Amino acid sequence: MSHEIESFNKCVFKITQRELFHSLLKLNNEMSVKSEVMVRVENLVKTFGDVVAVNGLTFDVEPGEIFGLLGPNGAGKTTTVKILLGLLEEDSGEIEVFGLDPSKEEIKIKDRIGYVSEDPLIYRSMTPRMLFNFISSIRNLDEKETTEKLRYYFESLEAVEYYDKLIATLSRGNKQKMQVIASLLHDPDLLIMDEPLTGLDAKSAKVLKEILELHTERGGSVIFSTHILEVAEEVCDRIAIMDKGKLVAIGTLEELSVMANKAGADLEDIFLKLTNQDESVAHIVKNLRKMLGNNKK
Amino acid sequence: MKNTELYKVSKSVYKEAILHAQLQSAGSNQQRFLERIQKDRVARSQNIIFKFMAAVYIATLVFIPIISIFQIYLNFGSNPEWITFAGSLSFSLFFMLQLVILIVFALMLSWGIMSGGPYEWVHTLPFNRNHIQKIGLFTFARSINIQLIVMSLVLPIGVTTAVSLAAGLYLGIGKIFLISIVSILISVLNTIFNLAILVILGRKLAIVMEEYDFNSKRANFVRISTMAIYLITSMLVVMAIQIGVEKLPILFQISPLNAGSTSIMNIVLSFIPVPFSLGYLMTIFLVDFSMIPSLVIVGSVTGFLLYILLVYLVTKKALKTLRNISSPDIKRFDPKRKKTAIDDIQIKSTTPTRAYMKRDISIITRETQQIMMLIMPLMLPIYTAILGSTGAFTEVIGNTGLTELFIVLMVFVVMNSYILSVSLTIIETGEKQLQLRFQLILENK
Ligand SMILES: Nc1ncnc2c1ncn2[C@@H]1O[C@H](COP(=O)(O)OP(=O)(O)OP(=O)(O)O)[C@@H](O)[C@H]1O
Ligand SMILES: [Mg+2]
Repeated sequence: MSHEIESFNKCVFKITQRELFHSLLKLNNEMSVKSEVMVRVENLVKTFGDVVAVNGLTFDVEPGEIFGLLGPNGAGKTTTVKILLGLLEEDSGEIEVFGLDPSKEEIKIKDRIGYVSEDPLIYRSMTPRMLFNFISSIRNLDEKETTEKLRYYFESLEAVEYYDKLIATLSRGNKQKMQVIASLLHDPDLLIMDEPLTGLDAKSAKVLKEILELHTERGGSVIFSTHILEVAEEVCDRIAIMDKGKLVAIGTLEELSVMANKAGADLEDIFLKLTNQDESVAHIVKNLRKMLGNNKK
Repeated sequence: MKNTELYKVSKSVYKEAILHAQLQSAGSNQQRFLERIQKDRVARSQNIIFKFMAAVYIATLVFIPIISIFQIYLNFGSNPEWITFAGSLSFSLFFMLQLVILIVFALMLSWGIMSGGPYEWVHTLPFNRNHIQKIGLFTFARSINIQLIVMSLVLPIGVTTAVSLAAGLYLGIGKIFLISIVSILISVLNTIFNLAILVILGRKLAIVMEEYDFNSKRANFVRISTMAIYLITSMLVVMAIQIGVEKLPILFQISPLNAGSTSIMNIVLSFIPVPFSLGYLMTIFLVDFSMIPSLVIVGSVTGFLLYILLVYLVTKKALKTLRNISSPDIKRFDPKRKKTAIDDIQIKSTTPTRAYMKRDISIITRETQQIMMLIMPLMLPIYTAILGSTGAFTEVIGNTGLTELFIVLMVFVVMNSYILSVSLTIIETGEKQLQLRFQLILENK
């Protein structure tokens, strides 16, 4: 037990050695984006058959911020993110990424985005070794620099021993680590992370959060999709609350709490209030008690 | 990005597609399968073995045109109408068998490639649509490159050699050259046609097996029958080869009772693009033009033109399929499915035994290997019976020879991949499941 705490501390200590991390990440000079808006989305609509997955969504993502997309299951977060990447085509609305049109400048945009998908898409038929060699060749990365980064990430995420294992056989969390590293290697300006903490243990989650923070300190942005309130509260600078494809509210935590008329409230209260779920939750809880309470174990 | 680079990328996509197909057919035994491929190389190279086997079969088929050509020139004077008929028929048989063998061997892989899954990740990398389309095409070409090369070469080589040997002295260089050119043209067209059919079928299979309405009875039925058709076809092709070899010379030597009906048959069949027009075109070049009724020549040319049109249409469809596959919006959804309301959520209990059966059926029909396990035991007796009834079986037993080896190998290859991997992966889990089920039945009583 004490050993675990010790190694945990060691790791946290490692992370706080920011200079090292910084110098490492700064190998690639400064970010190419200075002050332009990273992402602009206006009136985005996407339907699947008769399901309206995204319904008139509008938001901007500024450089240097972690922008949270928060919403219950099925709110349309993943759909939104996939449209930004050009993985899905929107029905209507306007999208600009780095001021470019995703349908015309796919390559330029994908060059500058790191994407962590909800379900890992990286090839199961590869080992991490093959995977990172593949990515490095396709993205034309510098061998020496990338090796250095890769070693650093593998060490801080404690994944060294999996370097030559088939990805198909890795655990969910370790697969997630691989796709996180894969999204970081080319030092993208914008990170799009769809539920990136899925499967990660506490330590790796902490490392990832730290990486994201450093990324924004250097002027990069993150779009961080999650359905977990605490995570959004902890990680995100600004949060867009989505429900059933619609934008319910957008702003910093303080701004949101003002909107919810609950100064000092935590995100959960705000969220429930803004999505008009506060009363319905109380109702559900009451009914649950009624239904289950009668059956004493 | 250059095509050569995209071709290199397609290698990874191809490997992923293979794994996808293998995992799909391993179904609930995926974990064991993965363990196995980590350990032994045979499972990993299974696909290469398949490729070479298919190529060997496709190449071996060429004995059908070779036998035909010798027979045509041996029986030249006897009855030109009948010779034309028999020649065309055996060439058509050859073309059909090529297609079927290609499908039997490559369909599962084609399904893996056509499922769209392997392209999703590529889409997140810096490629544009055009690149990804090309990667899609290259991936597919990779999966059957050897077969395709063999398929397009074997006919011209076989025909030219056989014609030179059988009738080289009579025909002269010019005519032999002409025949070679025709056989190359036919072979290339036939290869393109087969390729396109494979693409379209692979996509259909992917839709049926992966995207079609999950657990409905109809879906289960469709899946089982798809697999059954696949297996029956594999069996039939073996039989067709078998019977073809045995009876081909006889076909040329029998004299038909009614000469009139033969010529009518020739005229009618020569107009039909698939599978006859290619056979007729080849044959009228082999037999002397002066001995063939002009209507048959007109028919063959018309049939051939129709065939070209057909190749064009099928290829267009196949290219469109490939394009759709490599487009990101591939995942289908069923817009007709109605929304579920709260009243639709309902539990219906049966006995545990029946619940197990039900669950098993819907799971099994989504797992190729298990379907094969269900169908295989039924297939073998049927197959034996059919062979027995045609007399071909006893002949095989009677005269040992190449054909016997051929048949054994074919059956072995078709079944090997399924039976072997199933038995290796399923035994333990199967045993546990059986015990569990048995217990339930007992408890139920
Ligand atoms: N390919 C698809 N076909 C049909 N419907 C889809 C498809 N993809 C998403 N949907 C529907 O669109 C809606 C939004 O889904 P989406 O995945 O964007 O939600 P989400 O906010 O990411 O949810 P979660 O928190 O569970 O990840 C859902 O109702 C979903 O069922
Ligand atoms: Mg999602």
